[in-house]
Amino acid sequence: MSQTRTRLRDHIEANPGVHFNELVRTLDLAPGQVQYHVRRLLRSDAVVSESLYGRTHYFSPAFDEWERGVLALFRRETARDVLGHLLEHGSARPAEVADAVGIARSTLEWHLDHLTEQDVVRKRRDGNRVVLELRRPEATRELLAEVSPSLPGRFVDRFTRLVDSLLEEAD
Amino acid sequence: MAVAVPCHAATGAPLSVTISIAALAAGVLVALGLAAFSRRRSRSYLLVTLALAALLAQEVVGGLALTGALDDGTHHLVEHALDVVLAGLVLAAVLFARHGDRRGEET
Repeated sequence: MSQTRTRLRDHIEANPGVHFNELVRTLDLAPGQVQYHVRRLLRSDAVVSESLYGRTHYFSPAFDEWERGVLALFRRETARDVLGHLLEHGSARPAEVADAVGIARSTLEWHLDHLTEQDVVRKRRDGNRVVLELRRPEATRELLAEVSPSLPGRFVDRFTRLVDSLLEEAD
Repeated sequence: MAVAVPCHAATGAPLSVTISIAALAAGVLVALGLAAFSRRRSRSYLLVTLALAALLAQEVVGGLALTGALDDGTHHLVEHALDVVLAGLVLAAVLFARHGDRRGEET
């Protein structure tokens, strides 16, 4: 397997749910290169893809459909913040979540549509109030803990961002 | 008769603590550089990592001078030579970034 393809496969394994643009950016490859090698990886079943809401996400084949949905949404900042709030508080009213995350109610609804469609979050009616809760809190927690970048990993991310910006400024 | 005393000897303990902290910090930076390089595989990242390694080497040289393993003249020469290497590596990293050099395309 070519070196580039091995790097792509390793990166997808380490970051399940990573999407196309992120692969291009993080590994500093040309889009065409990523396209070519990912296609080969898909064909040999080394990775699987899932197109959701305008982005294509990549996974190692170990994840089932529900897990792929959770991970794909976890890669989106706002959806991730909503998930984080629900993980922390168990259940919450939509207005609380929108406030805590700092988004408009309409924005929250848009993300909730995705989160409920992927069976991650459920809207429960409590009288005539709506309460949001995770469909499978324990499984969600375990899955996200498993894939969250480690502290050294986050350090490397920041380091590369810093070096990139310094080298760009010098340019 | 004057005995050759390393010029750093006078500063003793605070200096060895400073060198240890600097070496530790430089070691972490080198590790970060290596991790970033293994991810990017670009020449710029290689050069930045080598520059950080030169920084670490300076601390090692400082430590050796402190224990007396290196005499003063050699120590200063090596240290300033490493300054040159470090500056050169960073400049080269900037240059390659400007030229958009990219290694590890197809293999």
